[in-house]
Amino acid sequence: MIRREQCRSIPASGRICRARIVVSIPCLFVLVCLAGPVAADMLPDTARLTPSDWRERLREHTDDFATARLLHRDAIDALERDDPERARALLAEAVELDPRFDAPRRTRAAMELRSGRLSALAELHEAARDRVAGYRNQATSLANALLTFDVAIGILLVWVSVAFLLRYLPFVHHRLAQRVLGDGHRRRTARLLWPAVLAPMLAVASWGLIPWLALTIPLIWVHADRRPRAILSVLLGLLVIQALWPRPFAAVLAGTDPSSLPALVERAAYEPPTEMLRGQLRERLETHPRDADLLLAEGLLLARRGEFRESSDVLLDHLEHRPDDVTATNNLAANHFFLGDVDRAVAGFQRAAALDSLRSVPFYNLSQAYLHKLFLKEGGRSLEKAQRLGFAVTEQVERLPRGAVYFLRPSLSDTWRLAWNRPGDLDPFEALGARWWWLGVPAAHVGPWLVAILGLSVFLGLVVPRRRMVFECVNCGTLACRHCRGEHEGAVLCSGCGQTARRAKSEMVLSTLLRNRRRDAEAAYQRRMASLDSILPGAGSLADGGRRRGTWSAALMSASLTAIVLGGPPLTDPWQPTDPGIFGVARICGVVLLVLIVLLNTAARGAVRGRHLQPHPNSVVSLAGLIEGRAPQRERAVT
Amino acid sequence: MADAGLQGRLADFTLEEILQLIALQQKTGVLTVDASYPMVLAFESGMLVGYRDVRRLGLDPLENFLKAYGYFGSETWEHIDFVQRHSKLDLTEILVNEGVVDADELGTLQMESAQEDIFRGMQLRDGRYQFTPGRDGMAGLEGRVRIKVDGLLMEAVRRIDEIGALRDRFFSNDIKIRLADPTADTSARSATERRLLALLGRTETLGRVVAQARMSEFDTLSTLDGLREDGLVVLQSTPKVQTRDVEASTRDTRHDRMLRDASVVSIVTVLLAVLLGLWQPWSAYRATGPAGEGLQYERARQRARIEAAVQLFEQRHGRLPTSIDALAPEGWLDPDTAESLGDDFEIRIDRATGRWSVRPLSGPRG
Repeated sequence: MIRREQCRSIPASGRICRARIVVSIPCLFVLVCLAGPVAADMLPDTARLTPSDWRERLREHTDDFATARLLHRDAIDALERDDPERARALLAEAVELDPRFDAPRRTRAAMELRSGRLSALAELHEAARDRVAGYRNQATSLANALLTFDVAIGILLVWVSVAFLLRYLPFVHHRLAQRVLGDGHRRRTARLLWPAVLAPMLAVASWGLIPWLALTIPLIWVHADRRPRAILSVLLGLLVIQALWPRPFAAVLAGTDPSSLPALVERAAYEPPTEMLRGQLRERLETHPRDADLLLAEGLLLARRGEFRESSDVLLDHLEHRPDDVTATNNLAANHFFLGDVDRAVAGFQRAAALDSLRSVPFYNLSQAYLHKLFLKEGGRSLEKAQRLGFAVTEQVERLPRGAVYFLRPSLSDTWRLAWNRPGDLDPFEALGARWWWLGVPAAHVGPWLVAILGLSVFLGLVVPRRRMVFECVNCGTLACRHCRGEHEGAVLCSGCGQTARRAKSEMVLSTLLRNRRRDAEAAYQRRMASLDSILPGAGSLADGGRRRGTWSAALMSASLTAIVLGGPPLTDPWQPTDPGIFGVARICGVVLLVLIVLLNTAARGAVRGRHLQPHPNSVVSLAGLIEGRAPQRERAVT
Repeated sequence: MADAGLQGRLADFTLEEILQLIALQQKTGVLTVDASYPMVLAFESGMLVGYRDVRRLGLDPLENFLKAYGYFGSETWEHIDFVQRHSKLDLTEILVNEGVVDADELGTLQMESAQEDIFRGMQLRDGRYQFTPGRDGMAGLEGRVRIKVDGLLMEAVRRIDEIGALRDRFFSNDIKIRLADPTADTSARSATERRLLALLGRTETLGRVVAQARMSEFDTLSTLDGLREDGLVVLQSTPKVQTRDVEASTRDTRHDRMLRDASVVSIVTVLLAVLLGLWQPWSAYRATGPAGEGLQYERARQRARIEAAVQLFEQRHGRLPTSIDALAPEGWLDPDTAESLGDDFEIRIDRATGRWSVRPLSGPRG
């Protein structure tokens, strides 16, 4: 209380100040009374809703996921009926209902582009990026990339093995003729043995891919030199690694398995919270009752269904296992908010914000709860903090219809953590083999088979070294076995060159004969390689020791064949299954690439300058008995 | 040819007269004779410098001469053929470089060969000739010689005169010739006669003797005629006996055996391959792999696909589909997929609660 003496001593300015305060307080009261209802009307009316009201609204909201897809489907139908305006409207509605759904955005951008508006390119680019790297699409894209890669490697292995087999099969035929007929390679009768050489190949090819590789790769490995061995081992190694350590692949594929834990957690956060989805979560919880991630997912699912009290119970159960879980704490507080217990909601949001002071959503939720209680100062401070932390509505938050606060969804790191720790190792062959019989062996056995093939090849390479099997003529490069190889003055020659060298009695005749023979071999090689290239583009170069053009051609051929065989991504979203049909974009691209490779190979064929490769001169092989020369020979040719 | 120097028919102007003209006028150029025995003769200042035009395939008079009169054995000819086939060397280069003959012997051989060539040409009575003056036609001419045409003509005329009488006596190549007295002393005879007598000890028919005599037919016949007159050889006509080629017979037998072996091996292998391709245990192994994670993964994806389709159907129609097949007509599932999935899954509806679920009909396939 101010004494009278003191009042007297108060200066005039102070008195004026006090008078102003006295006047302003009633005015402020009147203002609040008048503006309060208006402000309350401007605020979301969520505070007045009861939990049952929320449940009604949620029923409409949680169908947005499916409704967006239905609208997109209707838009496609409208487009087929040639009604673009209706399609545009439906697509816009679909995008509004589910902004994360990329298909309507792509369709809309494509429509705009067709009508000549290039500005739609930006939207198309964004939609395409979401399609590949969007949060929910990332796992599918990655899994598709890995599966396509494995299919391409498989096709490449077949292509390479066929090319190398064409190169070494004549030598196998020669050895068989040598063994059966005794020097039979000199006679045309040896042709009759070709069915005996080809029949086992065709038999195992009819079994499937793995038996084919099991027969051909060791056979090639024994006869081939360094470069073909390197190509085969790299390709086989890429598959074997996935068989020996499938965990990374299994982690990627877990996101595309709807029954897996990471997929269930994600579906609970995104897909319509149907009773069926809840049932699947319950089934999983019965077997893993104390799984914290499942509890968190069920808590969010129940909240999305409007069952806030049950959700709170589940989340409390979860918090017993993970007391410092920010997501669960935030979501529990949001449940309290929707149940009308704002004080507990504030406490919960405060705790969540304290647990992770760098996360913006708890601060935003806290600000909304404060504002709900008309704690304007604290609310403004929290809102400011949330904005400073970069608050934005992202894919990781779930906002119930016109709700003031947001639920937190599992983050990408959570999904990857769950996928990595998923029990069981699903390798790519199992993922592919369930649909494709042509692997030739049960899908679960592909890995051991591949390991065995690689191991057997390396073992045979050590036990039967190439230098004991194959002798190369230093003049023409022809492969010769130990029965028919010739020697002249210490040089290893094929039978033909050896015979020539023995016949010549003068140096001039010797050099002339050998030079002409080498020239003939070169011409024959060019002819054979050209014919092989015309049948299998690039295979001639590949058979010539895997030169760069052959390797590139083989890689591109396998890519085009993969596109033609698959016709699109192997895995599609169950909600958006796509049937590319026979003339899908991927198949057309594959055919175009195939034609391009054929044209490029035809153009490059004229410039081929290969080594002195030719079939065994006494063999009846005419297609690709191509035999490599030695490095010194190449050096000599250069000099 | 429009700008040819000299051309005409041999019936009007014989080769003898043409050669005389060229030698007399000391002409330079190429004379081509197109007749039953084609010839190409190159002249330089009236001298014969070439009679072998190897640019025309199959017409090498030197090679024909050497092969016809048995100058070299079969192995040597095989080697020469091989070298010729695999190089572009001329026959004369091969002969000298490979040490078959030396340069002097080659000169003699070429002389005899040219003589034989002219001799045969002078017996032609029908055909056309053409003389192209200048050196243009001589480019690329291999195995050059330098022989006077006069000497060749005189020797050829002599042979033409005598060959008639010789052929009357040696009327057939199948005439059998044998030594009158194998023990007779032949040391006084010439080297050529001794070689022929030695040859008669190994072979009997005239044809074989001529083919191995290493001299021209005329020389062989005249030498044999001299030996006959001296009583060293006796002529006897005998029928030709067909002898069986043992080597060829052996070769055929071996070929038949190889044919049989190769056929048997191929047929057996193909049959085994067919059996391997159809081998049921392997097919069973391939088809009945363990129900691993891959199958579960695939079924989970199929199930999710049906669930999504059912939810969309329910939202559109406000009711559940009666079966999985009912999802196909409106395109919620494509017909093939709906058919295949309909065999494996069913939509189970709890009438009491109204809840539905998609359940597999049986265990995993396979």
